[in-house]
Amino acid sequence: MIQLHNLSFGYSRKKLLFRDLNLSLPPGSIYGLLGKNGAGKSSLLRLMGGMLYPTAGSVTVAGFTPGRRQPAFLQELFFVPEEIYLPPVSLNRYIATMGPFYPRFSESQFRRYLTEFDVPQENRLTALSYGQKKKVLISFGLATNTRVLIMDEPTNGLDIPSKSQFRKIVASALDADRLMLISTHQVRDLDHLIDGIVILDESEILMNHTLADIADRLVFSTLSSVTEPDRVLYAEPSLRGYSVVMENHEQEDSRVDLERLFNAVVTNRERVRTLFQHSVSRTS
Amino acid sequence: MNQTFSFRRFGLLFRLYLSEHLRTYLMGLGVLTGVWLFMLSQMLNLERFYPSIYAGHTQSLILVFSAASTWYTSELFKVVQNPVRGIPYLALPASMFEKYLVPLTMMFLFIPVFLADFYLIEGFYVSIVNGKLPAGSQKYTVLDFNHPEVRWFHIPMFIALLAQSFFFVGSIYFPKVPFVKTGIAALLLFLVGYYFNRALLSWQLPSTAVMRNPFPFLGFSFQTPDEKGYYLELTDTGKEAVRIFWYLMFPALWFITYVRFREKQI
Repeated sequence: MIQLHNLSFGYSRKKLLFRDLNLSLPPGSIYGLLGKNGAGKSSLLRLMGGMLYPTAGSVTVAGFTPGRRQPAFLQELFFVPEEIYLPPVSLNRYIATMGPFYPRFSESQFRRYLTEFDVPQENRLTALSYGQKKKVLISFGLATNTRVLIMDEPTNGLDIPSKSQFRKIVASALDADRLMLISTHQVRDLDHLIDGIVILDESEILMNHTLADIADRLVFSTLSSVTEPDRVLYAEPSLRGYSVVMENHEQEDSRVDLERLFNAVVTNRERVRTLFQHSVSRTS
Repeated sequence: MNQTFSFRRFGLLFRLYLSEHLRTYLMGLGVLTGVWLFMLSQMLNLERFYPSIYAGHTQSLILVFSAASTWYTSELFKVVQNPVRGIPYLALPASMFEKYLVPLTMMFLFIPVFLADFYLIEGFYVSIVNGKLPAGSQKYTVLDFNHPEVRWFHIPMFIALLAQSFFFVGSIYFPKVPFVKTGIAALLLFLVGYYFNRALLSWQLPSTAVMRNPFPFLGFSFQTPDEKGYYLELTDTGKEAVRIFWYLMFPALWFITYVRFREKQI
């Protein structure tokens, strides 16, 4: 659904933010895009949305070249930016003016999501709090039923109950022909939601794998002491000893902890790369 | 599906634009009405027919139009000058041409709305003043651009219209304070043109000749040492070519704006 082919991009030609990125994201899944501050997550999403043009290489989204900004492409993509804007109109007016742009937009679905998010539907949109506005935009994006939904830091500004509601609603809106890509640096907000993860760091994609692949190659557990340093990729002190990420030699089952995974990947770039290359060549 | 233009998509975009901006525009129109009520109110003191009133009204019209239209037009692309507003606008399912046509249409619409407001207030005052004029006196009418007192203002009117399109370019070129930056750019362009023209003429004329008011694209006068004065102007064909050049400036400026808008990245 989304393909990057040798994609390079920079705000100036001399200083590139990405160099030769390659990526392929299939439909029917929810991907998390993780990266440090300034890694270029938002820029990558904007390249996919056609708001920025690649310096070299290509981006293909749902069979379209985003940079051409064709209406047929834009009908297949909804973009929830990090900083949001809603016009100073009522909700009904918003539905009447924005809904017709998206052929598969469902008003009933939109209102259902708003109810689930506990957003009042009578007020003018500008009278809503920032978090409520964000929920309006997320609900609208989901209700457009576009094939691609990109969300940049969607949980910023959401309160604690809304974050779990967000996970529930987003998971319910996925179908076999839809891809959702969610960028965040609050990895816990994506727990139990995403199927795959893309980690962007220092101009390159360090990881692009499904959680099943990751759980197959890595084990997340707690040890009283770090006894096998060769196996351990990352360890951090915890109440019961050390929370670790280790190579999964024994094919143990464990739940992927996104925060530990991220730290393990950015601190062991080459080792993780080798491990997953080996994994890919073994599985192929 | 037509990927360049569809009336349906353009209609949706236009409706969306109006729903977001209509309130602001109506408030602006209210301010403009206040300006006209004040500026034209001096007419109420008249007790006789003065044809010079038309020249005064035309000057006011050009002055207010220049200020209002350039400010209004320089704000038209504000919607794409920052990510908060720009991303939702660029992501709307419509072509870049349709998205460009909305501000262009709004620029065109400014002119009839502005004139309607002016004529409404002027007509209102004219009806009051005509009631006070002595019987048999010539009556005032609303401003006629072909009135002999007004014909002199055709060039300033043209410049005011061209300035509006120039500020249209500025609104997409300058993300921040487009009105001020476009104004500075226009002034610089004018000064460069003026002094370049002057330098070019000085180079062609003998050093002893004294030039007076050389203005680009128009004629100019000069005086020779024997105090003979001359006025040099273009031939009719030359004048026609200059006229065509200036008329072509309008579509050229709109096209530059479109190209710049199409390349806009956020």
